[in-house]
Order: sequence, then structure tokens, then C-alpha cells
Amino acid sequence: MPITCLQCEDAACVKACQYNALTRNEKTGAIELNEKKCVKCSACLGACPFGNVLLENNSGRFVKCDLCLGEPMCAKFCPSKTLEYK
Amino acid sequence: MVTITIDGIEYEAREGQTVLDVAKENNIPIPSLCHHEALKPWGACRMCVVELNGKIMASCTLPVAKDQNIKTKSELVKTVRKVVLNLLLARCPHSKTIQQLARLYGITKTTLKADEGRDNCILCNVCTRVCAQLGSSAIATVKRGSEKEIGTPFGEKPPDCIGCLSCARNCPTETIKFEETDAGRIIWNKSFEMAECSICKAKTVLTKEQVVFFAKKSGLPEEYFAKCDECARKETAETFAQLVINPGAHIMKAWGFTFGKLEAKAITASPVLPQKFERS
Ligand code: SF4
Ligand code: SF4
Ligand code: SF4
Ligand code: SF4
Ligand code: SF4
Ligand code: FES
Repeated sequence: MPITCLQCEDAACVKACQYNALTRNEKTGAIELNEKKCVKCSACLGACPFGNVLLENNSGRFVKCDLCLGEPMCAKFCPSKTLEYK
Repeated sequence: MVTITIDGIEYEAREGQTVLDVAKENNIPIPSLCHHEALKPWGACRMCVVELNGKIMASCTLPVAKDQNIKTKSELVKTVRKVVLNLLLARCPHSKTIQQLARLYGITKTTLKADEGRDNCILCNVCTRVCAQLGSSAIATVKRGSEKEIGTPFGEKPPDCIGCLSCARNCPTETIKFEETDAGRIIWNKSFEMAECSICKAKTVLTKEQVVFFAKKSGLPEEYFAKCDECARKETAETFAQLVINPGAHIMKAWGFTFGKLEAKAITASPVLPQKFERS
């Protein structure tokens, strides 16, 4: 099973960011990375104990799972329904 | 909430927003150079000017107010932006960013004397502000008058620089040069080695200085940062597998919830990060 962001309650990535670029979306519960505020310092990538913040090689953008803003595509497309979102 | 008018259309704005914030939220194009959403408004480049009651104002530092009537496309606005671009193009005639922006306003060449021998720095201070907000303040504006430039203390290798590259990655004119290999980096003439993964010893994507600095700043242990993604993910997968196969009481305790709760929480994808993540 792939493991993506756990949307930690006491999130390490949020503690590491000095630019307020990582905040929780109260509606979905997900921690979202605001690309416009991200200065690409790599602190969150280093901080996540689970390796769940990624640096996209081609674009140089930092990305993480945001639960697709409430409609996780991974769960939708999972053929065996191993992934479920409630 | 306040209502403001931009180019004849009304928009809802929140108290504390600037006119530029509202414009960006509503896809109204206003060019900006010294503005960065992670930083406090600076108001230095004058590229973002708009018209309010016949006066020219920098929209990035202009707070919204009730019944404001803003114009972003008036002749006055265009004229002032052209003046700004003419000056910028004289300062750094070879900057692609400035050339592109100038072309949008019909300027291909400055009418002033172009400064050929200089780098592309427009003194927007994005780099120094990004670095200051990080808590390093390794670089600053040095010299005075027309000699002004961005530099390091006494022109030496900056002692406080951690090699994060944020200054260079956010410079609107790509002026700050750096070199990067898998093993290390060079920026501001200072060489950095990448930190090793504490598990597999492969190079991580952080410099040794970043690991120490980020750990101190966030209050998290250094080993969080000195770990490559692959090992982090492998460890997480193993922990999860253990949880599923053998939800032993000690793991449950470490994770801070009971099995019944874990099942419910794991599926809604919001488990609680253990205060201390124990490594096997
Ligand atoms: S990115 Fe990592 S630290 Fe941040 S919420 Fe997700 S799992 Fe937790
Ligand atoms: S890379 Fe971006 S989101 Fe991550 S800590 Fe740095 S500024 Fe914040
Ligand atoms: S598909 Fe969406 S919810 Fe699933 S991991 Fe990716 S971002 Fe997260
Ligand atoms: S690379 Fe050095 S100078 Fe640039 S932002 Fe990071 S710490 Fe500051
Ligand atoms: S080096 Fe780049 S970011 Fe720094 S002041 Fe000059 S133009 Fe702005
Ligand atoms: S973006 Fe407003 S003055 Fe520079």
C-alpha cells in the first residue's frame, strides 16, 4: 500500500516552515502547501519523518498530498478499494 | 468584509488585505517585482502602482478600505509603470525578466544610458528578506548610492549562510549564482557538503548546515532532517506493516491511541503524529 501524508496533528513540516506556507485546511483536515508562499528552502522536506514532502525534479516545486482538496483521486481510482476516504 | 471597486467591478475584500492581494485573488493582472507572498510588503520597486483618486500608489502596500475606487489600467498608471521600466532597463539592460515586462509596455530599449557592466540585480531585497525571515540574515545591501548591491559581510564568505539557496531561487531576475552537485553546493563563494542519511549514508538534499539550523529553528531532533526520503518511507512502511500485522500494545501506546481508534483514524487519514517517533 502506498503511504502518503498522514496529515499529522502536530505536524513536523508545519513546525519547520518559517514562511507560513504550510497550513491546515479546516474543511478537509489536510495540511496544504501554499506554493506562492513557499520559498523552496527544503525545511519541510527534511522535517517530515515519513518522507512525504516531495521535490518535483523537473519543476523544482515542493509538493505534498493535500487530500486533493477533499476528493482524493488515489482513493477514487484504487481498483481494490484498499484505499478508502471517509 | 469591505467592498472595493477595481476597474469598475466590485470585489469583496477582507480587512487587512492589500489591493494587490485582492487583485491577485481575482486574477486581475498587476505586475510586481519586490512582492513575495511569504514576506511582508516592501513597496520598493513601484512596478505594482495603481491609481486611487487621481493619485499613484503602490498596490502591494495599500490596505483595502471601504468604497475604494482603484484603477489598474489608466493612462496615468501606464505612464508611471513605463517610467519605472525605463529606469530598470537602464540599470540592468540584460535581465530577461525586465526585458519581458518592458515589452508588455511597448519598451524595447531604455531611453537612458544603459549600465552595461552591472549584474541584473534590481535591488528588490527579496533575497535579503527571505534570508532574514529564515533567521539567517547572511546577506545584506552593501555600499551606498549608485554603488548599492547585495553582498555578504565584508565581502567574505557569509558565516551565517546555511546554503539553502532560497535567496537564489526567489530572485526575480535570477542574479544570484550557485553551483549544485549531488555531493554539495557553492553559493556566495561558500562551499557546502550535503548531510548524510543517518541510516543508509547516502547524501540527503540538505546541507549539513541546513540540518543543524532547521532542527534548532523547529525544535525537532536533527535526525529528522538527516534522513533520506527513501529510508524515511521504508521505515514508515515497516511501522505500518507492523501495526497492521501485530498491533502490539507498545506500538499503540507509542502512537498514542487504542486499536479501535486507530482503525477509524487511519482510514480517515488523520492519525496523530507521535510526540516522539521511535525508530526500530
Ligand atoms: S508532510 Fe509529513 S510531517 Fe507533514 S503532515 Fe504529512 S506526514 Fe506529517
Ligand atoms: S520548502 Fe516551502 S513549504 Fe517547505 S518549509 Fe520551505 S518555504 Fe515552507
Ligand atoms: S491522489 Fe490526492 S489524496 Fe491521494 S495522495 Fe495524491 S494528493 Fe493525496
Ligand atoms: S543560501 Fe545562504 S544567503 Fe541564501 S537564503 Fe540561504 S542562508 Fe541566506
Ligand atoms: S539579487 Fe535578486 S533578489 Fe536580491 S535584491 Fe537583487 S534582484 Fe532582488
Ligand atoms: S511590488 Fe509593490 S512596490 Fe514592488
